[in-house]
Formats: sequence, C-alpha cells, structure tokens
Amino acid sequence: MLKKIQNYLLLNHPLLWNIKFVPVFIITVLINILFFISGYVDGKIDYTKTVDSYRFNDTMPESVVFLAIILSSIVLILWIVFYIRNNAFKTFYPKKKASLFKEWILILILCIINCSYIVSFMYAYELRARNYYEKEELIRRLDVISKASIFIDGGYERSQDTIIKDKKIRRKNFIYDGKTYQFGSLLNKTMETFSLQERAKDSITLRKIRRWLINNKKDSVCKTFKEYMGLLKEHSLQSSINSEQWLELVYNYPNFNNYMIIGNDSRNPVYAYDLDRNYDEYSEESVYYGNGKGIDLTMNIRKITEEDTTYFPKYYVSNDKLKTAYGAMSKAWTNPDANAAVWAGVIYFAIGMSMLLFSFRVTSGKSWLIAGIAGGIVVIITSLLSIIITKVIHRNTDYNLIINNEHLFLAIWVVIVLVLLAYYFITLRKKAKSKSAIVLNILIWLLPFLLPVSYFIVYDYADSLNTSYRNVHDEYITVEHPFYTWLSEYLGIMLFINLILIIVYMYFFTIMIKKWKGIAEA
Amino acid sequence: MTDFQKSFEEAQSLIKFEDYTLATKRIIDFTLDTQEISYYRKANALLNWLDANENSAEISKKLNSLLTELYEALSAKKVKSKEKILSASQLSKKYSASFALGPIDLDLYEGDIIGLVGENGNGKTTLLRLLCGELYATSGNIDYNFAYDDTYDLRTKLVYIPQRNDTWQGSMYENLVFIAASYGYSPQENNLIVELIIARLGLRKFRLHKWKDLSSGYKMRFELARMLLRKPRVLLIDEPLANLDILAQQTVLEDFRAIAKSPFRPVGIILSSQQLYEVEKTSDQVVFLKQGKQKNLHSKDSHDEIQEKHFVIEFDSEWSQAKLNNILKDAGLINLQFNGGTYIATFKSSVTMNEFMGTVIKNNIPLSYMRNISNSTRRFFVS
Repeated sequence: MLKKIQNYLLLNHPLLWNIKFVPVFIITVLINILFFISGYVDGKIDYTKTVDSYRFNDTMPESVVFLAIILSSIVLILWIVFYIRNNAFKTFYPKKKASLFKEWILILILCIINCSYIVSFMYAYELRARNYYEKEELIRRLDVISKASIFIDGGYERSQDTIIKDKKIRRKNFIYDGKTYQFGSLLNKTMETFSLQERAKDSITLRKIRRWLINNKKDSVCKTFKEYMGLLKEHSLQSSINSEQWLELVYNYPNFNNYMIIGNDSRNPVYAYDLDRNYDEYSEESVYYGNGKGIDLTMNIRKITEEDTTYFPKYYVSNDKLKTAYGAMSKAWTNPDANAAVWAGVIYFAIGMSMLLFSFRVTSGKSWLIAGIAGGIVVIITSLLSIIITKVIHRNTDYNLIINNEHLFLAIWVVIVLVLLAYYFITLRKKAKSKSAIVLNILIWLLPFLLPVSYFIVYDYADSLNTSYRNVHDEYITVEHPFYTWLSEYLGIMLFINLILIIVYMYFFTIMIKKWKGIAEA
Repeated sequence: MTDFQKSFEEAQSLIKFEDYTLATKRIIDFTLDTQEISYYRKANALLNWLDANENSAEISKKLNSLLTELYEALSAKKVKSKEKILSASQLSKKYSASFALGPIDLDLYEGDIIGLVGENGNGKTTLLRLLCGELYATSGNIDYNFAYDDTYDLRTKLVYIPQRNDTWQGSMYENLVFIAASYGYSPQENNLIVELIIARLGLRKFRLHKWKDLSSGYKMRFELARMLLRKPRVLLIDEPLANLDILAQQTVLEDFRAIAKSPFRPVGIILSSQQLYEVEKTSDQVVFLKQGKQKNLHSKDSHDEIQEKHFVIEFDSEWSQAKLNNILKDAGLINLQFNGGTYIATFKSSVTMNEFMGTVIKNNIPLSYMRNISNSTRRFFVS
C-alpha cells in the first residue's frame, strides 16, 4: 500500500516523494496517536494519591519524555537518511517559483509532528481529566468540597497578630457581622478553593457558609456534609464518620469555638498546636512533633512504635485525596500543561529544526558545517566581548546601567544578522557566490528568531523602567512601567505575528535562494 | 537524402546484417524522436519480447516492422534546422597570476560535437565550468541562443557532467524515474521513457542495481541516461572516456554522436578528453588548449593554416634519430623530433603519405607504428 502511494507520488508529485512525506507523516502521526492514547490512559484520575501542590505534578513522567526524545531522534535520523538521497535543487533540476517554499513548509509540518509527542501525551492526559465531568458539574462538586473544607482541619483567615506602630499586638478575638468571635472559631476558618471556581464566587460561598452558621442553618450544613460524603462514597474513599456524626462533632452554635478537628486523612500525623502559641515558622523551637503536649486525645489516637510516638486524627474524611483528584481536574481546565506556551515552544523548536534541515538542502553539507563551526566561534568571541565591554562600562561609571552582557551579546547578534543579510543581498548582484553559502546557512537559522530576540532585549530594557519600593509591611512592591506592561501583554501576539512573518518572508526568501543558486560558484 | 533517411537506411542494414543490438538502439532513438506514448509502448513491448526471445528467428521481422512504422510516423515530422546554440567570444578566466584561460572563441551548433583536448592543467575543465555557468568569466561573453527565465533556469538547460560524479543513492531505476518526473514527463510516459533510455544505453540488466555495484563504464552510462532525461540544450562532459576500456569508449562516443545528431532533437555537445584520436573521429571541431590558450584544428587562423600545410607523420622505429634524419632529409623532411619513443617527422606540404611509405620501403626502415597526424591535434602536443 505504502509502496503504491510512494510510486504514485514519484510519478505525480516528485517533491513529496523526495521528502518521503507520506511515510514520515504516517509514522509520526501513529507515534503521536500512541502517545495520545498513553496520555489518556495515564491521565486516569487516581483517587488514592495525595500530591504536594508545590511539587511539579506528574503530568509528564520522565520515562515518557525520554521515550519521546529517543523516538523523535530515530525518526529524524531515518528520515534524513532517505530524504538526502535525492536533491533536485542541488543538481539543477527545474524548479517552479514556489517549489523551495513548498519544500520548507513540508519539512516544517513533519518537524512539528515529530516534535509533538510529549504535547500529545500531555494534552490527552489533561483531556481525560476534563472528560470526567461536564464543566458545570465539576464546579458544583468543587463547591461542595470547598464548603465542607471549612469544617475540616485547615487554616484560619485572620491573623492574631496586628502591627500597630511597628509593634506586634496579640489579639484573641475578631468581630464579624457585629459579633465578637474567638480566633479559633469556625467563622474564622479558611476555605479550600480550586482554580476553576470564580474568585468572586469564592467570597460569596464563604459568606454563605458563615451566614448559615450565624443563622443556625444546621440543615444546610448537613446537606453539604451529605453531598461531600456522597463524593467520598462515589470514589471509594474512606472516612471514620458519617455526615450526622460530623455535624455532631463540629456544629456548636452560636460561637463555634468548641469543635472536634476532622482530619484530612487517616494517615496524616497530628502535631500539637495552640492558637495562643507564638508561632514562628523560622524558629526551630516551634517545630515540634507530637510529644503529647497539647494533643487532645479526645479527637486523636496515639500510636506507639519502638521508635516514636505518633498521633493520628480520630475523626477524618479523605479530604486530601479528594482535593488532589479534583484539583487535578480543575487545573486541567484552567491551567493545562499542554497550553499555548508549550505549543509555541514546540512550533519554534520545529521551526529551528526545519531551518537546519532546509539550509542543509539548499546549500551543501560542507558549508552547513563551516557555518556551524564559524557561528560557534563567533558566539564565543561575541560573548567574551560583551562580558568585557559591560565590565569596563560598569567599572567606569557609577550610573546604574541597564546594559548587561546578555543584552549586549544578543544585540551584537542582531547586528551581525542584519549585516549578513545585507551581505547576502549584495551577493545576489555579484558574479560569484564565494562564501555566501555559509552566510546563507546562518541567515536561515537565525532570521526566524530576529524579532523575538529584539523583543526580548526591549522587554528587558522595559523591565529596568519598572520601579519598586518597600511598603509598610516590609514587602517589595513593583510598579510596572506602562511600556513593560504593554510588552508583557503582547508577548503571545508577537510570537504569533512572528510565525506569520516567518512564513511570509520564507516565501520571498526561497525565491531569492533559487536565484542565488544560479550564480556561478567562483 | 536527408540525415533522417540516412539513419533509417543505416538501421535497415543493421537489421539485415543481424546487428540487432545497434539496430535496437536506432529504433529506440527513432521512438524517442516521435515523442508519442503509443510508440513508447510499442518499443517497450518489443524490448520485453526481445528479452524473452533472444534467439528467435522473428527478431528481424519484429524490428523491421516497428522501424517501418516509425519511419512512416517520422517522415511526416519536420526535421529541426540546426541553430547556433552557444557562442563564446573572447572568453577568459583568470585564476591567479600563474594561470589564465583564454581568450576563447567558440561557436556551438545543435547537433555538433566539440572536442576539447590538451594536457592536464591546461584549462579544459575550467572552460567547461565556464560554459555551464559554474564559473564566471573574468572577461568576454557567452551567449546562449535559447530562452531562459533566470540563471537557475539557464543552468537546468546546460547539463554538465563532471569527471567525478556524485554517488547516486537508492536504485538506479528509481533515480531515473525521479529525474523524469522532475523534468515534467507525464505519469503515463514516465516509466515508458525511462525504460527506453535504460535500454538505449544498454542498462536493462542494471536498472535495479546500486551505484556501488556498478563499474565506471556503467556509472558513466547512467549519467548519460540521466542527461538524456534532462532534455539538455547543451551537454558539457568532462573526461567521459577516463577509466573506460577501449570498447566502452567507442560505445560511449557512438552514443554521443547518435544523441547529438538526432534529426528531431539535436543537442550541442562539448566534451573534453585525453583520447585524441577517438575524440577527433567523433567531433565536428577539436579545440586544443595549451596553457589556457586556444588552438583550433579546423581553424581559419592564419598561423594554423601555415601549420596545416605541413605533412606530419608520427611513427615508431628502432633506428636512431641521426640515421633516420639522413634518409628522410632527401624525402622533403623539415624537422624530426624524438618524443619519448615516438618520432614526429614534419615534411613539406607537397609530400604525401604514399611518398613517405615509398621512402620507408625503399630504405627498408623498420616501423612498428605509423600515423598521419597532419590533421590531428596531436601535432599541437609536439609543436
């Protein structure tokens, strides 16, 4: 079948045959499908896991990255071996005006597909998470977890410490809705939120719960507990209490001070804490483990082993696991790893690769290699030069310079590319190509990145226009310069416009390359 | 009698004398001249039949039948007049202070073969590279008498085969089909025409071979097959006879002649070679290059005319130069040079070959080799 297709292409579309477009397309698409399926399978939500939210999540196992890189490299090498067998351009076979442009576009398409394995995996992984529930249903479930989280072990909203005239004042109460409550009251509890929930709605939900408590709407709270328990049951998660017991343990109208702490997991150790304790996270003193002091045994279980004594919550619901699972679903909607930035990265990487291949095709292996080595040497020289220049400038001036060696280095390269471009245009009018094949290689490689690099230099310059100051809470506050804000907002658009620009200029550039090819060698 | 009729009668006599290999080549040439798929099909069918019936008594009949059909088809076709296709005037290329080529003046007509001869390092390859656009001329002009869009397009029409060819990757057949497709042959005619050209160059058995499995001679023939598919206006070949045995040389040169002299698709060929006599036999004009300077064999240049009036003989003899000089002096000898085992004797223009041979017989001069080089560039090598 494939042979038949290739034979058809050989007779009818020699360019497609030469590029081996169909076999490489089929192979790379198949690999993408395999990665997609693997991602979808691996993306199954595991309700038995709890993940530290600060750690990079496991959307992308290392083995998948490794496999993707290996497969991508193998496909690339095999493709190149077959692709370089024939080169119509090098041997001056007739070429239409847009033929080279078509060839580059086809190379680019294959490069993009061959670089997408990881993203296919990531996309499917998150697609699975999004496919569990309709968005509205997921939000409803997240709201249940959020509401219930107020009645589970967690943080408090208001700080006991207030700074008045640079002095820390310790307070024991706070006023809510005209009534005084202790800091440990349920009315001061924070609520777990998820990214998919709207920020404004979060405050409304929290206020709603507090209104239930103030107005003694025990039934509403109980209903929430029942819904929450329903979620636990649905996902076969454990709890040591039922909704009625839960209500009994935590509901203590009107002050909600005396309540049992409901643990997030049966296996989470309990550490002693006291709301009156002068807590300092940086003081070693305050980090103490369950030595029994301050541990309330009416709501905790002591477990003694040969090495240690550990305390676990007596009453618990598997909230950590539920939170992890639903957090992953929420993130898959709001902040997926397979996002536009990742796609932009893949496309730009593929463009770089396609340019390397294309320049090899239209020039020669020798000039390609010389361009690489010469480029490398110039990189070393220019980086040294930029370091030396910036050091000298810094030493000789007191002025806080915006220039640093990375910017100078990039700026020098922008100038080099522009000079090489001018040289190339001059060569087009000359009788001999001389060294222009080497220049052409470098231009093909670097031109796509001219605009983003220039943007980056200006962006970093704009960053220096931002001002920052230390506020009364001893925090750094940065005030963005409007120009910086503008550039930040248009970063994505710039990258997109640059893509279009690359495609447009490549059309004209490839026509010029064909013209250049006709020039005598020497 | 037109060239076409002459070729037709030659093909008929080849069949008559059972030289079927050459007759088949002529038939393929005629088939390609028709530029019609129906004849391509017929010729391919015949080739397949010939493969299966190598010793059949029917061969002559089958060949004659297709030849007659082709003759009828081509008789109605207009023979192409042979135009000047390339003209170089005062062409020169300066590499360094030590070597400069030119000035060269050259006219190439469709159907003509120009042979470039000269010692190594005298500018033959440089001239070919200048003519194909690979090098630019320091001064002078090259006019190509055909339409082209740009220099790339021009270079697609000037096919240059360098002495060292690039290695072909993949099967030979697939490569040729790719070339045919790139040159715009329709999918219907592509395989047919590739098969014909493969057969024309005697490569049927080798079409699925790899490059590394081929001898130098067959590599050159595959290059020629590629060249034929490229429909060149001008064909420039550097040392095509190098590394070929004498039989292969004759076959390749015969192929060049047939390709160049096609009545309907004539091609201008310029080739360089060290094989003086073979090239002289095949070429319409021979250009001798010595240290970058041009000397034409059939030139109207006054200096060369004087040279041409002499009668020059190259021979081998065991006798000493002095002894020979004494004897030949009386036979009108102007000059006798001993050049590495071979004598070059220059006589007055009135001396003839028969008179020289008479002197040899009369004086019983022992000769192992003799050649009249009065009209050969060989004399430039010694002058």
